[in-house]
Amino acid sequence: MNKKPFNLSKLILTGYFFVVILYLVFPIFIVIPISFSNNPFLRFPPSNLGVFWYETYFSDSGWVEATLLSLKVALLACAISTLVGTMAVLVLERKALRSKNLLTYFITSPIIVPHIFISLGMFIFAIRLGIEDNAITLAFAHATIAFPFVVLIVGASHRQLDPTFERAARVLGAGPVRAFFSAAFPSLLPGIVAAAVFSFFVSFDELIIAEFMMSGQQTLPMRIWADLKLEMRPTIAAVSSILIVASIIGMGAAEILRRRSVNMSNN
Amino acid sequence: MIERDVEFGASVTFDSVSKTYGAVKALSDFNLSIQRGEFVTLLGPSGSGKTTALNVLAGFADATEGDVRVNKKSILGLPPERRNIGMVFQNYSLFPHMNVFENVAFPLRLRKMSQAEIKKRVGDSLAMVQLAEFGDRMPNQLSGGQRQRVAFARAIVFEPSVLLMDEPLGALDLKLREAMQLEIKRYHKQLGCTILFVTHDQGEALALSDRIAVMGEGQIVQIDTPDRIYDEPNSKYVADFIGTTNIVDFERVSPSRVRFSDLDVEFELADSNKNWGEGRQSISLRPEKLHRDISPSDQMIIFDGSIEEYLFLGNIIQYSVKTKSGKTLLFQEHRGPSVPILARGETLKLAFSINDARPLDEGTHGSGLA
Repeated sequence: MNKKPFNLSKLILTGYFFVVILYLVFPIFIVIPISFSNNPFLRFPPSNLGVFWYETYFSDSGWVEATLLSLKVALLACAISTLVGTMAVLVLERKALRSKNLLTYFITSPIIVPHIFISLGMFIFAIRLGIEDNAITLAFAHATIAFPFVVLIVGASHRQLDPTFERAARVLGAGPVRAFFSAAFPSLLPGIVAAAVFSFFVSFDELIIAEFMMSGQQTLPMRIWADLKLEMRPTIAAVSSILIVASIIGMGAAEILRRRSVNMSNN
Repeated sequence: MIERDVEFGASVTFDSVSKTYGAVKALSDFNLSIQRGEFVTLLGPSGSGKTTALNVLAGFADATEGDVRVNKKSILGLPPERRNIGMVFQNYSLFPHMNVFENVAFPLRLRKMSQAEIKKRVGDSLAMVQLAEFGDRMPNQLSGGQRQRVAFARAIVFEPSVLLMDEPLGALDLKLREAMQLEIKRYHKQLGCTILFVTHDQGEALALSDRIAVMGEGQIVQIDTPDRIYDEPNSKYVADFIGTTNIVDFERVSPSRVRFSDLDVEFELADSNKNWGEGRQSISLRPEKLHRDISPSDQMIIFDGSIEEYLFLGNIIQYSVKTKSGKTLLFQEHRGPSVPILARGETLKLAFSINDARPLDEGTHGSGLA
């Protein structure tokens, strides 16, 4: 009777767990190896290992310009959405609004609305104003789709705040703004940084809106898409691999920051 | 910016203050006068309005009606940062990203004091709470008791006119809480500051306060010194809230005769005591006021009971005694060589003096919370 009973459900669940994980990371296992081949075509498994396509990427001015444009747009979109999103959180979390739920749904709706519709709307709007094919316009458009994520992420850290910290600062002699920056902001900062990193990648990755808005210049995802349609060369795999690594580093750093702050305020 | 014309230790007056949140009356016609240097405790269960009173004084809530004065000057309308009030919170509220020195220096920096002055004052405050060597520590490197002492140092370093303490010991364990009670007493004596202390712990209130205001339903039910609150509760609500007590019902059967139905005895009032319990229906009878060594006296009420259960409390034994009419009373006595512990089921006679029985108001306010 001391034999461990055979636990079928546990076995099935464990198996299921690994299948899902594998499914999620599967593209990485394809893309990264392909990028290290010297073959002229996308082929898996790769043969003839080398860094030829990385060299191609860095030496092709088209690729580099596309990357720089994407960086520029993403940085601006990140700045706009982080600032506006954080301010929205302060209103949603602090004001006793009767319409709070409605407002929250409205603010986070860009997550649900298909990007193709947002793109179309933005495009028509931009043409009306004559500001299409412009990096700044694209950054603002990207900010709208990154904004809900900022509201969700910063909102979650705001709900962790203990309001007595700001009250303490107030009675000690700080005005409302000063109290916010000395008592609440430091605890919100990791959440804000995490949201900023996230919204940076939302913009950096974005293809549909960019395809609508831009005609003369190409962002990195546009360039990848164009290349894929035309020639299917492993440069794409090299670029994707670089992006994957950059995302992992960026997100990882944001997560470490967030955890550190949680430890600090759990006092 | 900050009003500094008030001295350390000011008087505080709540003048008919009401505060309503929607349909809820958190404070209704709340009156309280605190003298300079006095230690007053607001004691009550949650929802009794004690925290609201604190928030109105600190400036976190506006009074719906009435006035609040510090040193006879109305402070309503001033934002919290201009009231010059010190406050200690239950969760300490030390800023986690600042070290101990910077936390304590925070109010002084806001008051634009010189570096030298800041250094001196922070040093003095930390020395008072016996944490002089801890300036470089971060809050998360301190124990709960140490954090609360830093919070205290920060609250008094700018010599506020009043010090508010909102359940400051609530997060500490029992041993530490008792040690901190002594500390707080010492600070109060040393600084002479006015303290308004909020707690739901009656033991804490009894131990610390000059006066206790027992709160119920947004009003003060009774305000008095700890010993008088304990000995002479004015209502069921207060008697029940402070210490342990037995509430025993009685009725008048004739002008000079009362019947304690819970004890199944009647009692003839002496001529000198004719008005005893006029208009009341119950008494508070502290467990330690019951005796089993019955010395015959005409002002003693004697009744029968049997031991149901007992609790060993160290130097005291607490018995649950069932009376003939089925009511269970608590009865405490000190242990001693001549006082054997009674066994379960044993019957006995208990007595108390009519003067130790406090007739109680039913308590129109607060009774619903008791």
